[in-house]
Amino acid sequence: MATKRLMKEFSLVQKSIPSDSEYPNILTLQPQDTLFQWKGTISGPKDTPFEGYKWGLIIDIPHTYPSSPPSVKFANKICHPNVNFQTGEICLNILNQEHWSPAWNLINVIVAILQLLGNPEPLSPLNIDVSNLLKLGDMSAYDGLIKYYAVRYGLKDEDGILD
Amino acid sequence: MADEMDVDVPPVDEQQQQIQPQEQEQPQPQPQPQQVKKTKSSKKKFEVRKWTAVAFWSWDIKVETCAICRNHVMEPCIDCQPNSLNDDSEECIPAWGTCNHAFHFHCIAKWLKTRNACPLDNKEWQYQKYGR
Repeated sequence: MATKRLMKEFSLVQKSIPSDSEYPNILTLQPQDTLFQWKGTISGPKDTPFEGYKWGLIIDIPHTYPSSPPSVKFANKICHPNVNFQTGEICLNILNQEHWSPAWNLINVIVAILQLLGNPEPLSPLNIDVSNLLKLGDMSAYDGLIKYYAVRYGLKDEDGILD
Repeated sequence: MADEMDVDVPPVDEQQQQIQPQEQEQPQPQPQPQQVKKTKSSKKKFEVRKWTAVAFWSWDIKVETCAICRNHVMEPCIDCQPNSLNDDSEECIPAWGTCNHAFHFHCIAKWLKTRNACPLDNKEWQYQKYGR
């Protein structure tokens, strides 16, 4: 089941990434040595402090997919209330078994992560420091800290895309 | 087939050739005068000999693609697909929940082991019916 469905997703991804204007912030999405390991590149959504910077995503897919969710983490450091700064782990409910639905696919997951960038959830923080700035409503400090780390750790154009 | 369908709006020449043998018992070849005569005598210009109706159909269900394996629910699921020439495919049936969402029985049964909820609306799953 998993392999065949991932083959279907691969052909869908080839058709829609990066050409489809519906997903302007998904720059790349490609399987690696196997269909169970993918890498992606996203750009920060418009009107968020992440705009103008790029991050890589590492996607590991269990052999029970799509009954179980893929595991996704950031490849380079990102400062976000719901992302572990050291490990890149993402706190996103649909990535948990109890909230995952097999009706979702990899593109849906990445769209959800992009949504999370612009809509952080301070009540389930993985990065306490930036989360506290958000709770305090100090948006200039919040934006400033995110941009500081984006400049420092965001993927540069000369890094190319992850592949 | 094409000839039969042409009866509806046939070109003049063809129409004549078709109708002539039945309706008129006149000696054969005089195409033009004959048609004029027919029109004047208000005889039937042509008659429908055969009517071939064509209809289109589709399944009257909300979901056509199984959201779990992305194959059409009326075709075998992604796991049974390679065997679809065997008799096994008869076993691969769609199943509906009380929420009216349809999946392959194979797919939804596998998912329900993980969580007893419809993948599309997250409500508790109860089978409504199976089969085509």
